[in-house]
Amino acid sequence: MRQYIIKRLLICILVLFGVSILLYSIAHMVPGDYVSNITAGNQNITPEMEQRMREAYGLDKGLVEGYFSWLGDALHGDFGTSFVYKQPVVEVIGKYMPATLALAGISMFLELLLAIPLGILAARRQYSVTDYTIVAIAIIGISLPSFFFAAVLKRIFAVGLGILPVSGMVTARVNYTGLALFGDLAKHFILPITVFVITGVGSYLRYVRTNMLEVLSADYVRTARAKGLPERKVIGKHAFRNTLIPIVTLVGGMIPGLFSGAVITESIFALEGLGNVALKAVYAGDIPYLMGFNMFIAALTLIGTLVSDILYAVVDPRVRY
Amino acid sequence: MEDMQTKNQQEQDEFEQNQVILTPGQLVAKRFFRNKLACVGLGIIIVMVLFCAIGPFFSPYGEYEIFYIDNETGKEVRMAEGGVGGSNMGVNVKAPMSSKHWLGTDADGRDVLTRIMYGGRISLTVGIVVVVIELITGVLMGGIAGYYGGAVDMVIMRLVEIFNSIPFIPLMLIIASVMFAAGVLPQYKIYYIMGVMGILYWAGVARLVRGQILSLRELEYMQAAEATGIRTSRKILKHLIPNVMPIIILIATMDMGGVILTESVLSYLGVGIAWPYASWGNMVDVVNQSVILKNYVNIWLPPGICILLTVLAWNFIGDGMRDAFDPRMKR
Amino acid sequence: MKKMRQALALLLSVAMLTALTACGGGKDGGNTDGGNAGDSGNTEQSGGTEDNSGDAQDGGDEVQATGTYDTLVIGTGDFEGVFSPYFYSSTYDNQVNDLIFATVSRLNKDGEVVDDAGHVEVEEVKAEDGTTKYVYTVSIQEGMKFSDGEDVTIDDVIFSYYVFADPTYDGMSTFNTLDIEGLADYVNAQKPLWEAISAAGQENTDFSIWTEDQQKAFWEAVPAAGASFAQEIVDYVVASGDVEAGDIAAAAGAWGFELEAGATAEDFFNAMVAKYENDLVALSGTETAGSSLVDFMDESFAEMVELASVDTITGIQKVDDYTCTVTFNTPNISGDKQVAWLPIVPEHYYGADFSKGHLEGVKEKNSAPMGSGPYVFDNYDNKIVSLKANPDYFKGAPKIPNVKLQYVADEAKVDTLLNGDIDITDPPASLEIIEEIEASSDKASYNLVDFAGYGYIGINAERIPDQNVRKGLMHLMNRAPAVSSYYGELAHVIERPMTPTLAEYPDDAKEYYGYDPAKALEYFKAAGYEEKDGKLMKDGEQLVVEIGIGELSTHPAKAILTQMVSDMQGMGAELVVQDMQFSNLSPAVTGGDLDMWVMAWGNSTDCDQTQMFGSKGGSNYQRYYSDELDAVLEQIKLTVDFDERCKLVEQSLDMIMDAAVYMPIYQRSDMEVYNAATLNLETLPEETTSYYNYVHEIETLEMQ
Repeated sequence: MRQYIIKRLLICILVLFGVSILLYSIAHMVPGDYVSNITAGNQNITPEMEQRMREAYGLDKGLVEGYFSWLGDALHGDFGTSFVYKQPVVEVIGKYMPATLALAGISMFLELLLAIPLGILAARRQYSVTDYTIVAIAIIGISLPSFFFAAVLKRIFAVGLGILPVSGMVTARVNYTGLALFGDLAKHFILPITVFVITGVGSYLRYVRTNMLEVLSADYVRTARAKGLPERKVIGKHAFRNTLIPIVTLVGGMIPGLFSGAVITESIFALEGLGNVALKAVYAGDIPYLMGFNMFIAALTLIGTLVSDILYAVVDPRVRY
Repeated sequence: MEDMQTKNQQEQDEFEQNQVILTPGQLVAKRFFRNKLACVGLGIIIVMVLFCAIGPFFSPYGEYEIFYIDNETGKEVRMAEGGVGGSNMGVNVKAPMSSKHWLGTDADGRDVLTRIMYGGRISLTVGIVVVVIELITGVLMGGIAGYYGGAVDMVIMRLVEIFNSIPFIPLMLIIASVMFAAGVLPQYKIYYIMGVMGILYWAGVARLVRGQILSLRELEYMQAAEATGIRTSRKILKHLIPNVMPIIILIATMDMGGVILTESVLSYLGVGIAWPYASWGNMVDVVNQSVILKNYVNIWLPPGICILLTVLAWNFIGDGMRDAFDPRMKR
Repeated sequence: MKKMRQALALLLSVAMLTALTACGGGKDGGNTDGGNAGDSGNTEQSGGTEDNSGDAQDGGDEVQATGTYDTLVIGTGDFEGVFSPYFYSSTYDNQVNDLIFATVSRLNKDGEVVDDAGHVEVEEVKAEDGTTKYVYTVSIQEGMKFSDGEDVTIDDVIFSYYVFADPTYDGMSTFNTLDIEGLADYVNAQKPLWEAISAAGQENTDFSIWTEDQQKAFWEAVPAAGASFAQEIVDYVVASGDVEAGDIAAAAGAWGFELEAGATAEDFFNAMVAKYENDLVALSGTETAGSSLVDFMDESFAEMVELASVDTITGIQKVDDYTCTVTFNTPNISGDKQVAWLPIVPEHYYGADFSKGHLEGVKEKNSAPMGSGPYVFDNYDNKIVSLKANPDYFKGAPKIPNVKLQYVADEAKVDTLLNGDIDITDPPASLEIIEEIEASSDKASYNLVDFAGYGYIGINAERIPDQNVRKGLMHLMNRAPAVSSYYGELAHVIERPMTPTLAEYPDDAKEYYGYDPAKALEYFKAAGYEEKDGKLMKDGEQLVVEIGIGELSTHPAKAILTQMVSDMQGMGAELVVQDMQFSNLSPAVTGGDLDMWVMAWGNSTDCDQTQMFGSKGGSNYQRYYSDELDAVLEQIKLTVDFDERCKLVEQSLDMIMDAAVYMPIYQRSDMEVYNAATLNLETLPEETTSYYNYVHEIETLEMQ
């Protein structure tokens, strides 16, 4: 096993190189560059000024030269300075990470908390009213776009009832500190997290339910029941673990999702998150930030995959690499 | 005594002769139609398809035709009728439901009902096309990776990781600009986008399939298959993959709905279906403008309900199919 | 063993989940200080409730609230966090700058320059060499202080000039393009070696900057480099398929140079040199087929050299501690705005490490601005900028102790204000929002402000060279119903491509191209198109026009285009509408890949349109070149008399309309919405325009 992990890690590094080349080419293929984007509405810009700005931003280098200069800096830990924020990329990511992580982390936790028990319940009571209701609600969650729920929830709770704030991360008018600040942040996070959970719980629930159905019709479950074990033990001790196998591997894939942020929900609720920042970077042509951020996500993806694979082997003794 | 034995024998013979032997396919169909929800789902899809395929022929209006209204007389004038340039003319935006426009007009002055019909064509097609592409590629690759393991598995999974690392939105922006540079006509853009989405999604499918196969590969019936020396392709195709069916069906039905949603998100970001064509996704987009959300429910609720019903229907069908295919189901 | 593995698995999963959520949950309370000004993360004041401790005080002490509310919350657009008057690129960042810095002069409600913290005036002066110079005298008030207590002197103003003029300046200001005496020398004091040697000529004997050997080596290398340069051009022409390989004379002919048959690459190069009169730099820049002349020479010639050590700009002179002069070589109608409508930035704070070519020290202060304006920067966190009143403000301490600017998404602005979370905001104007506000008149009130820009449809004159076709297309644009339906009184159709808020706009301009499909067909026919089999054809090709529209584009344009598509279809032609993201549309327009496009201009403060319509203009996307128009545009820049200028502007706009390259669609209003429950509405300015709003009187604004 250890050998396997080491081998995988080495390959990860190779893959990262490949991915960095791919990302760099993609970042440069996005139409328009930063200089032309910011000078677009300004009637007084002359071509010489544009050229000078291009040089200042390092946008006049060719593709290959630019890549190697980026690579050289990156290997020293310098991921460049964001064009848009004029700060080092690493700092920008660090600044907006907490909010994104908080939102995504809490949402995923809640999603799993809801999906697993409800999925199991639905599977056990297959074809009953309970099953149909749970599945229907789960499906409603995943069949409408997130901005739909965001808009409807805002309408009901923020505008209609006025008990929750419309957008933003904190109430600007008052300077909360300490616990009160935490409470204010929490109040502002309720609606976005609700939107995330509604749209995310459905798929997990369906996975859990499908797997549970598979497991429940297996022979060993029949044996356990025949042995006279209480249903609670049959489910909790035997069926549950085998249901967990695919779920556990999904968790690995969720890691990059924690950091990539949810572009649309963040922009609707005016939250300062990595998703929003990344979208703006794409539109503005902020190449250093795009490279830095996407490499970060790529690295997380690779790590997530590795973790998933390891967990798979650990959890399912039948699996052998 | 002998009489009884012969009688029993006769009964048995008769019984055997009268037994109806069903093919596996017929078995599946029978089990499927016994599932009420699955039938409802199938019914909904058929109705939707008919509605969207044939409906437009019954509508007198075009997909993106705008309607003018004479502010002085209140009379509506159609786009192609001429005389629409006067200063008393206005565009008939956000008109309420009426006998002329059963669901009113939208924020650009177009008939909502007609657009739902045309939009359904796109939304339904997109789901099917993307899912078919991603399934074929994903299941094949995942199957090969899971079965062979070792180096093959390593290579394919690394490929999966590379695909997963590609940021979705920048890629879509690039595709949009490449399509423009290549001179693709607006009405065909959506098909290219469908292709790209299918190609991007195979990675996720492959991972899940491979995971399942890793577990199944070591089961006894696979060892038996190995012992009998069956061709590898047969082993993968006829033995492993059918047992992965539940997951595949699940992915297929969930992605049907998911793709419709992705299309609407792409429209929101401006890289989805071209203007002025309709899709349920871009019709639901308007829900972001709180004015329309509050006051013009007829513009966004119908396409939303259509999406909801379609996704529900696919999921019920998926459940039904999974139950029908499962040989271990006793019911 | 099995049990251990299972336990391990469960433990791992649980640990992972906990780790993920713990990381997430813990960071809520204390947000990182990454982007802050070095101040403490959160101020110590608690909620803004009862504080009836009397009036605001001047000087020294903190400002106290006059009523219940002590914080003004402004709902605005997204910040990038670059709060520097030099380097901002987002208008919302600049909003913050407006509150922190005072300006020498400012614009009044009509967009005219008036005094603020200082004064500017201009006079014509005859210089010693006989030319006329235009001297602007900039003076500032005495006794002003920055918020850290230092005095404000004219050195601070001059510091700003030098920052803008720095050769490494990469911000938005166009100060360094002004024709100020000595500015060009200061900015361009560095040149690549080959340009310097080439400019000095072969006969040069001044070897202070380069050696005689270098000069000799350069001129010896020129013929070979020139031949390669010419060869590259030939290859390029051959590759585009018009000419056979090896036929240099024909390639040169295609490039615009007549050569005899059998000419060589050297001959080609010499012909170019003759045309450019030995100006190798201009030659290399204009005739290039990809590489510059120096790319074919030794790379040492591409290095930068200092021509002369130019450390000061001769045209900027300090007169005394509160006055300076700026001398222009040519008249500039917006000269006073350029030299005086600038924020006063403290040199001792921003310029501590400043020297020519080194702006890093200035950039470090991007997130920690400090000035002499009505408010002082406190911190920036959670997309909220917090400012505190400056008791030493030269116009008197502001009445409101705290101002916060918060990012609110456009669609949420009105809802957030009605909820009471913000006090002033600027949502995009629409009829429904006005209805909503009028229905809650006890909670909100609003002002309509004319937007200093306009929407238009442009036509690329290179892709559609036939003026008749363009005129035909213009007659197919049905603007009036679209604009009135979508915006009602919030927008009106305009007839000339210029912002109507400018004083020089000809208000009585008549419609040039009314909506008339019959006339359009006539023009198409006049251009040579005929109807064949239901299609409009000319030379075997159907009339197909491509137009690009951004997804952020407004509805009126979409209705106009839908009508055009239908009309053209009826005639047998075709209009292909490409809708695209703005970041795709922009390069397509600037690169000339679209026949037509829909865009808008914003924020114009003067009537100089050379960049947009002049032949060499950087924003001349429609690629319409006319010497006559250039002449009129030049004349406008030099005409100081207002009435004269108006006539010239009218003339230039008519010429542009006649060329049928720009169809202005509409100009709309923006709106400012105010919270009637928290603000003292009488303290808002009497008249709010696109040039003047509550920010300019912020010190007198009061809350309830």
